[in-house]
Amino acid sequence: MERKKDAREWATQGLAALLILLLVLASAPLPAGRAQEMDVPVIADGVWEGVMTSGSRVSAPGSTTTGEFYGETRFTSSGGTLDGAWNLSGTGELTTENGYGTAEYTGDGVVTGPSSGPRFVAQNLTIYIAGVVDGHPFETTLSPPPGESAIPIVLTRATCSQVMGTWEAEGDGFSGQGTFVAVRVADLREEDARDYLEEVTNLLIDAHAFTESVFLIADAEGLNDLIDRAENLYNALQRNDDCGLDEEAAGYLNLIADAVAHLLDFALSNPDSFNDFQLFQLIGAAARTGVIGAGAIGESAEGFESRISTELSDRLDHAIEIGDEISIDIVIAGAAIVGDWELMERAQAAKEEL
Amino acid sequence: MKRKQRFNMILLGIAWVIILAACSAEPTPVATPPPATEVADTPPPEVTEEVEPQTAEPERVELLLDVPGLQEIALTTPEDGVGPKPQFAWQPLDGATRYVLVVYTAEREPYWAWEGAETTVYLGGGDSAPAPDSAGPVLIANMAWAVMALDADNRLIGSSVLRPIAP
Repeated sequence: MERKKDAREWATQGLAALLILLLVLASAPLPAGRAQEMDVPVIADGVWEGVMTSGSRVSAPGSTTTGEFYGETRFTSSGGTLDGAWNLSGTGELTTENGYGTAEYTGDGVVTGPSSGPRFVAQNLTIYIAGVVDGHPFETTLSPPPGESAIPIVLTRATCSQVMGTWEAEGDGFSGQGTFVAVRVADLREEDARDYLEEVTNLLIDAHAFTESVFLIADAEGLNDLIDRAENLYNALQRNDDCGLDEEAAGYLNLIADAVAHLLDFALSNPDSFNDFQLFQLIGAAARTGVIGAGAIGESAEGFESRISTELSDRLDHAIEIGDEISIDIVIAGAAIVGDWELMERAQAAKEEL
Repeated sequence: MKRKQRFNMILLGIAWVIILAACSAEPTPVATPPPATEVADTPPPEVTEEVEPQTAEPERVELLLDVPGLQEIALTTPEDGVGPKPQFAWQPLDGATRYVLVVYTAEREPYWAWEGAETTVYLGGGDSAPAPDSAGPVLIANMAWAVMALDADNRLIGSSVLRPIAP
């Protein structure tokens, strides 16, 4: 009898405790559906080909060299590790207080590291600089020892078929930064990835040039042209969710996303520099390229959405204060794009009262 | 009452209090989008019937944007059976120079957007019809969409309803 009582008591206590636990968890706010809940983007298993585009700077006493180089890579991702090769080449210009010159970059090496953090280790890296200073010709070559220089890639977005990232490299008298994109070869519709990657390279170069000039944020047509080109590249790639992505959320990766995110971040950090309509168009571009919204891949979406709502709310307050109906309209439309229904209702109510 | 029995009763009492509180609690107060064209798994309500564009007395419909003076943009894409890469289409609006389209998930989160002067666009953009299995945004669940129109002065002049769409 005593044993039965203990069993009943145990069951009662357990059931009550479980019930309480479930109710507590059930009442907790659930996150909105997101395309990808991965904390860290990773490169899925398979054979990949990719490109690197860059801006770079080489510094020596009394001189600075700027330039751009472009790299290609092919590697295999298997079981969480990477193995492959890369190469790059480029040119630059040298400036000094009393001279000028040109630079040539060449390099190659191996791809290694975890699938969450590729490392491009240089086996051969040469920076040749030749020019004239104070009327005297000069030339010099920088060559870090093999294996001692590496470009670490920081992945920013990843699907099963495509990854994007940024990189920064700094060495003895050298620093550079740029963009990295790779595609899983098996998901390309055409066997040769070269044409696709050439289009990607050109797009990344143009996007980089676009973001270099903050004044071009006002160039909505130019931005839309870049987005159009990025969207046309979707057709060259087969959608594949075999690496464990949440299919229900259907995330997507637009190659312009990082560029748009850069522009949006600048605009939200310098709001006085952009009028309401310019901001509205940038919000639309962000929703179109997956920088914000349920299809966004990457960690920054919710942060951007919050900042957008805050900025739109501030602009609404100002528009109400001065009776600017057009600005209120833009806030209404912007709130609809970002899905801030509360803000939209507030703006609509304000419009009716004017 | 023995201590164990008393403890059990307390646990059960706490559980029931939480149950009662959960049942009586108001849902998290979140402003909702226009409810007329509810998506989810149930068939959409009747409000998404087409409105005659020109001469008929306009019915009172719930546009996405509830702003006085907005003209209704008539959407023409079917509500279901459109596949994973549908073409969104709508009637042109007098005075409109640009349209803004937004696709929402069933939870009313923005999923994809587009801006342009045309009155048709494929999900994911692009110059031609995308293959059903191409990368980019894809319709694999019930969603909803709407279109806004602006004039040459960037004034908001039109809005559609929020219309369901399913593959």
